[in-house]
Amino acid sequence: MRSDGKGRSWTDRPVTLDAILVLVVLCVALSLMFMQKIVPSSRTSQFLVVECGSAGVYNIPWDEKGVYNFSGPLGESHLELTEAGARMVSSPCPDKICIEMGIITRPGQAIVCVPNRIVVRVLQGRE
Amino acid sequence: MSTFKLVYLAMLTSLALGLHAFEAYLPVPYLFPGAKLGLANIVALYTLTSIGLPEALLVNVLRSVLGGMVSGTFLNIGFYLSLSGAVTSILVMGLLEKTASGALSLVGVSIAGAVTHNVTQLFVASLILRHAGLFFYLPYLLFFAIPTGMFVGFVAGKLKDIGARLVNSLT
Repeated sequence: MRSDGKGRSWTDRPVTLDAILVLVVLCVALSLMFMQKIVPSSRTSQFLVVECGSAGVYNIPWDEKGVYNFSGPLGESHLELTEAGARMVSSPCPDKICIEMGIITRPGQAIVCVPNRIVVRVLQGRE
Repeated sequence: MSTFKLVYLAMLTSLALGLHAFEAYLPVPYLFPGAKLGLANIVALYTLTSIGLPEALLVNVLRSVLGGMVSGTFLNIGFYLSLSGAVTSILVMGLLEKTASGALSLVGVSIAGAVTHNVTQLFVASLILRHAGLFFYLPYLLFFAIPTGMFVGFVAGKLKDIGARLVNSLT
């Protein structure tokens, strides 16, 4: 039964272009996902903020890998920033809780060393 | 505007509003916050294909505004997302319906509308929040746009066949 005013029902229409459209959308979605895996955009604007007691606040861009020394009231703490993330490798504090906190990688995570007055945070955002 | 058309558009608007409100009660998939079925778009697409673009735009904008008032999100972020998505998706669907009619079925038109809806909403949300990071979410929404777009297009197509018969019997 033709119910459409144009004399053709919607089911009669060719659907090749529909299939192409679906394929295009899928391809765009997949390539966008792939690009996110290759270039993690969240990493580019990510940085470390180290608050070092009364000595001051330091910003470390996420790209600048290496070992950083920060001196607190007890002595020098060594913070290592690698591809895997940031972690405290050595600390003069008695409990070593900051070392046990392990690796931090994502914005919002933090390493805190109370005895040596060091707070390391991962932040994200505009410069 | 004839009385028939006025009543018909009012009925369509209230139907869309009902679906809009009903959808708010449907559980959102846990993995995809923000993903929606787009039930109200069935009515928008039906209006577009059976009456025309200006009428569909009217129905969809009214649905968005009234829906915001009903669900209490009027002039909230959610309202702006809904309104902007409603306007752009109906414009794109209207354009495609006109130009690619015959090559693209209602399902294809609907998928294009769903994609437009998603892109617009992310764009507006990024503008409001002043943060472009939201676009990382786009591919996931695009994946979701395909099944929901298909569903909406399929139902709107069915509705068009039934509705045409119904209108013929009424007039």
